[in-house]
Amino acid sequence: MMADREDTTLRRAAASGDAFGRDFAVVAVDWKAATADASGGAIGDDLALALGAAGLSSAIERLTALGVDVAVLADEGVAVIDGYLRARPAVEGRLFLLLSRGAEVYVVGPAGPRLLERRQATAEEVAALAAAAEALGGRLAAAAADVTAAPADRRVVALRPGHEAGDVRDGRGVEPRVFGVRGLPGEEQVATLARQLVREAGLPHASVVVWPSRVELGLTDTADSLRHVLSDLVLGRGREPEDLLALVAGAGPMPGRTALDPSVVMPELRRATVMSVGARTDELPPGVRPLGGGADGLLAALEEQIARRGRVAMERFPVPSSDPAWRFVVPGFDPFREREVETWLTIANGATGTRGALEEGSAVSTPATLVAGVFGDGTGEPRFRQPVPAPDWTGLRLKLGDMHLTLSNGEVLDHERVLDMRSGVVYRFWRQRDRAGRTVAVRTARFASLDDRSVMAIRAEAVPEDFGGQLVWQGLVGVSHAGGPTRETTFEALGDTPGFIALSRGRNGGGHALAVATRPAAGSPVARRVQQARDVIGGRLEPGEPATVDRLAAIATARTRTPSPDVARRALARAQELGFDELLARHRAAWEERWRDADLVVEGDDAAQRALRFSIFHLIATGHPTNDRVSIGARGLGGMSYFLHVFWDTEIFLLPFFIYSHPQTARTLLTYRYRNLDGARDKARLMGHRGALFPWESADKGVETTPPYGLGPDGEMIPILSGLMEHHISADVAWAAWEYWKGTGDDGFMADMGVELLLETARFWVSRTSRDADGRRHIRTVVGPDEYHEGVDDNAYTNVLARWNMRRAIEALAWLEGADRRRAKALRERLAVKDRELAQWAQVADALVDGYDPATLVYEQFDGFHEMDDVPVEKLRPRPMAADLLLGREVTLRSKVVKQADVVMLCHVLADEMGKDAVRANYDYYEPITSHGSSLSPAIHAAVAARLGDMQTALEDFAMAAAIDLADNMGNAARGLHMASMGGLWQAAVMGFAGIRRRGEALAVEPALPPSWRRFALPLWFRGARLEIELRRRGRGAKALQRLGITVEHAPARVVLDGKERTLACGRHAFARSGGGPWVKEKR
Amino acid sequence: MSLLVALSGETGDAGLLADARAVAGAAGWPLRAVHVSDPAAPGRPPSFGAVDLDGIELVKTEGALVAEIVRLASEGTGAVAFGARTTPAPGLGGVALALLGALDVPMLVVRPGARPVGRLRRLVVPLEGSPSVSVAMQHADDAFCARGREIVMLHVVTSDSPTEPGSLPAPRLVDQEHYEWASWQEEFAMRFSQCVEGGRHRVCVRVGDPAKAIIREVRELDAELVVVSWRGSMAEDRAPVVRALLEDSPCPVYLVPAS
Repeated sequence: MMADREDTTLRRAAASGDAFGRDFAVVAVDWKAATADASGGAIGDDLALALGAAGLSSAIERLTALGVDVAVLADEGVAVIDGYLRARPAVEGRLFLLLSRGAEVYVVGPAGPRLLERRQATAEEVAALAAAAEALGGRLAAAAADVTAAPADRRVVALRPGHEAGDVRDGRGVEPRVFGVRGLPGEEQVATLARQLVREAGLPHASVVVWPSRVELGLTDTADSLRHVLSDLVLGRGREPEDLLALVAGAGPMPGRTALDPSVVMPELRRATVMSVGARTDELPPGVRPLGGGADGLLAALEEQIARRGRVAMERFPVPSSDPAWRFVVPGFDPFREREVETWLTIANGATGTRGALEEGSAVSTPATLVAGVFGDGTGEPRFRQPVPAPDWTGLRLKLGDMHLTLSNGEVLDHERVLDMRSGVVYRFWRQRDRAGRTVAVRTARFASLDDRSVMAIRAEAVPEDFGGQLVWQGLVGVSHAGGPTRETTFEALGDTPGFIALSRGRNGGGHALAVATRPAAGSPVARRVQQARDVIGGRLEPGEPATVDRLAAIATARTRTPSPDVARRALARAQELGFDELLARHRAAWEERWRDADLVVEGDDAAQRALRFSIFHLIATGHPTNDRVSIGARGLGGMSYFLHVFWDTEIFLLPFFIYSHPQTARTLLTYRYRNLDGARDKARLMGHRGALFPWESADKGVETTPPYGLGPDGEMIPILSGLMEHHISADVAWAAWEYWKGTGDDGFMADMGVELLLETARFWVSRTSRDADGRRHIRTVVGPDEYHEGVDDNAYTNVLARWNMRRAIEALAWLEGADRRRAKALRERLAVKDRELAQWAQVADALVDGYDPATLVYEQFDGFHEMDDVPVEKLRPRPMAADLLLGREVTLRSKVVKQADVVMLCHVLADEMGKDAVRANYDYYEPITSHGSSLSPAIHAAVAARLGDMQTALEDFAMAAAIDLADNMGNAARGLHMASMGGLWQAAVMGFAGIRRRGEALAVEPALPPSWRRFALPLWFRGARLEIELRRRGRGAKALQRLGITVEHAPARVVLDGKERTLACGRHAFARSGGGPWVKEKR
Repeated sequence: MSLLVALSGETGDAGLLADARAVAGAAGWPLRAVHVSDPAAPGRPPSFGAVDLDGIELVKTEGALVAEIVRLASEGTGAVAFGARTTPAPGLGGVALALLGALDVPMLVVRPGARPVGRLRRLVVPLEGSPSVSVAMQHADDAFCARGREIVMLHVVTSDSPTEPGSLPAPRLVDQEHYEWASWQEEFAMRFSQCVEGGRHRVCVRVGDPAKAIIREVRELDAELVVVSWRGSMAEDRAPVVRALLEDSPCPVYLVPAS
């Protein structure tokens, strides 16, 4: 029997997976089909029957594990059918036995069959059936003299040729056809007669089935079973009739026999696929397709369905990019570094950030999902706003039998995590041999959708490699390991769909509703375990079979309350409707679009390429393009450190990346500041000033969120003066608004928000200055970017930017008056800006001291800096170093040691206005005394050094900046990423090495590529034009040949080369230069 | 684990045994005592009159002292306690040095004059911030972490930074002090200790010469024990911190081989 199967057409088709061409969600198996041989006859041999039933049982168990509902239809009772079949699916609810000609329905689970329904005939019904059968037998016997007609078992009227007793079927169970011959009426007429008689007996709904030589009368029949399948398993479970495959028996090859159980030919099955495994193909009713092969054909059909699902599951598991330049790979597992790894592998989308913790957890894991813009009051002292983390949605535990699979259970054979930066997906590949010696291969893929920012998803797959058995995924929802001001988190059932809703609420703040549910992945051989927890999915797997689940989560947030769980429910329902694969496809497309305008390609320096891609990935992932109620926290969305508070980092370090790669996000970030302008006005007013003083740290309300003190390394209280004194942030915001305007040409932003931002910050600065006896203006008692020196007077960075702020405010207002006089007038009236005040601003700007020495071209960092003690910074410790820790606070305060770029920062920020000689003089003065004790420092030094041609130093600083998050031995990233450093790396590459800087309303290109960078390519948006800039170098030294290609799209672009401005039309432009010579336009 | 205390039969035994008893008691280890007589180096007969051996088995054996203790230690003993008699000249006694060079198990080294352990309430674990030497912390947690006991994780900032992957020295970048130190301390504690036994862990940072900083801290904290890892070599130019601790620590030193 089994050998024959190899030869069947179906078997071959099954192997190729196209016998039916698709999956069926429900399979109905006629027991007669399971007990038919290839010729259509019944298998008479008990052993063969048992073997066939065993094969069928295995196939049924695997199909149900794959999520297919299976119904077995039989005339016999449960003792017979279950006695042969003994199928035990891993879960109850997938296998049904519809027995006794439709009179009984059993559901089968791991413990065996359980009766669901039974149609029990009453004594009256039995008597009525018997009477009708007797009447029918009499009428038929009267019609043909050589036929014996008698009720065989009180409800079956059997007709036999002649008058011999016994079964009329032949050796293979095939019965001769008698209706329509020997004077007997045809089958239709017999059926009509029988129905009339049962009606007369008082059973109007009784069933009548006419076989070749008998008539069955009953309360139910096989058609009832099929109707049950249709109503409960197909339509009742949200499926269509097309999802049903019915495999039925056929009669044998002898002419004149009905080829099919007549009761299956029912109208409701027209849209289903009905296939007969019988040998005959000539007498099949319309809609019934021949399959043949008997029980073997049936098994082959089931195997084909199993194979299709396995193949689909394998094909659909996403894989990361194979390009090493796009793969951020973390091999192995190092418990000491795990928190760094979790941060690196954060998946974020501007709305949420989920740390890359192990799904199953470990002693060193800190899973957390952070949500942008949702804050509450912290509980510790001093109190300040802290983000309310979302519950952890990533928990997925794998159980092998009773044992949880973890990295510490047995031996780790392989473990690797890959951040596919191109598509924003984190993959995990893990092979573990547990203590019982069983090997399991696990892989997961997770992402936070960049397409729908409320959605997060994981697909997880486990494959038993060398054993068969129960594998179960348990989905968990737990509390994030992030602390925070969560007042309470409650969990409730999702609703009709299995899953959870977690509601978190912050103290005096916002909250979120997280809906999460796990499902078997399409085509996966696992099923939900309805009798256990609601998010438990598993099955009995054979070696090599994948157990794959999709876990989808959706979050709804609110800033001042707990959102309705229904919002999250609906978001999850939408995600589930799309499914993991579609969500992933959209997510990938969204990333593709962002990378198109953001990717920096470095050829010749893999480390630089890796650092830049890693930085850009997290910059894109952390910025929200449309939600102007959130900005980017100093440590991004990958860690609770800095509590998602927003500093000047956003405007000075991050915004340039967004201005030139995704202006919409840049505008949104600036709108966040504009929205919080009232908070800045309040702060200025409370400190006795006018205008707007932006908070040093801001959260959701735009008010100062810097704590007044903190705890030092020994738990000692440290006064924090930044909130009181670090005022340059107001000029930084103004600078960012101006840069955005000039870089994008977005006049609408300037008219709506930018001018007001500039005016209010300028007004603050004017009120912040004080006048000395000589009429000069000072800004006293501030903290500049170099925070080692607090409470200083006339910090150069602060004063020069403040002056710049005042002048640009006057300029911006003049622009608005020219562009839209009515709006300008309205704005001036609203802000009460008079001409007299503007004149005062100009005077104050002119009178503001800046510490600049025309003789040396050096800015004194602040008043008295030059007189402070010299400190041999280079002898303290290799940079970067926390010099204040090594020297002590008191020594640092009176020493010429600089924490971070301060005057050098000024040289970078106002590069457009500062001559190269001045930059050189200040860089040379400050570089040796800068400790780079801040992550904000080295990248900016790299950019300035590159501009000056100090390539070795530039590369060292670039590497130092890259190491801030990625070094093996510093551990900086454990609690969050250094977003400013990442933005600084982008600036060092683009503005430093490529030398691309805005000059007025044109882009100056003055590249100084490191020797190892053979090619550097980047896209940019600039004032409505999209540019692809490509720099190539051949050779080294003075005779190196450099090529510059600029492709312009959408609008002409103004570019400055060798100090000369050109307007480049759309299209490709090529230039070349040799050594340090001028750029020469190349002819194509 | 158990603790084998090597008695010399001389005057320092009482203090050594008391400290060993305190340490073993804090860890919940059984305590055994041994005295090795070396026939090749006859001296005064041993005297245990001043030693409180109540409840402690004293094994008397003969042989080469160091070899015999190494042999006993290899028979499943978890740790060995011995006295580190300092010489008039700087440096440790010859027997202590020999044991340090020969044993590869944890050692409780009691310097004459060191403050008695008494009740173990506070111990100091110096950590340079690298994974390989954090074995001392793991050992301290395993053996001594308990409710009501404080474990000070002492990190001394020097001009050198560990280069080993997974290291977490004091932050070299401090953007905003009020966030950075809290984050670093939390991570430092978590990275080098996952103990849940209820002991109080406190991270403490000092700057300067590690040995001096540790000794100063132990003195100021009145710590009863220093638990420190070392790489097993007392060669002239190696282990200056361990050597200094063994010579000058105000309390007994518990050495955990880094290997």
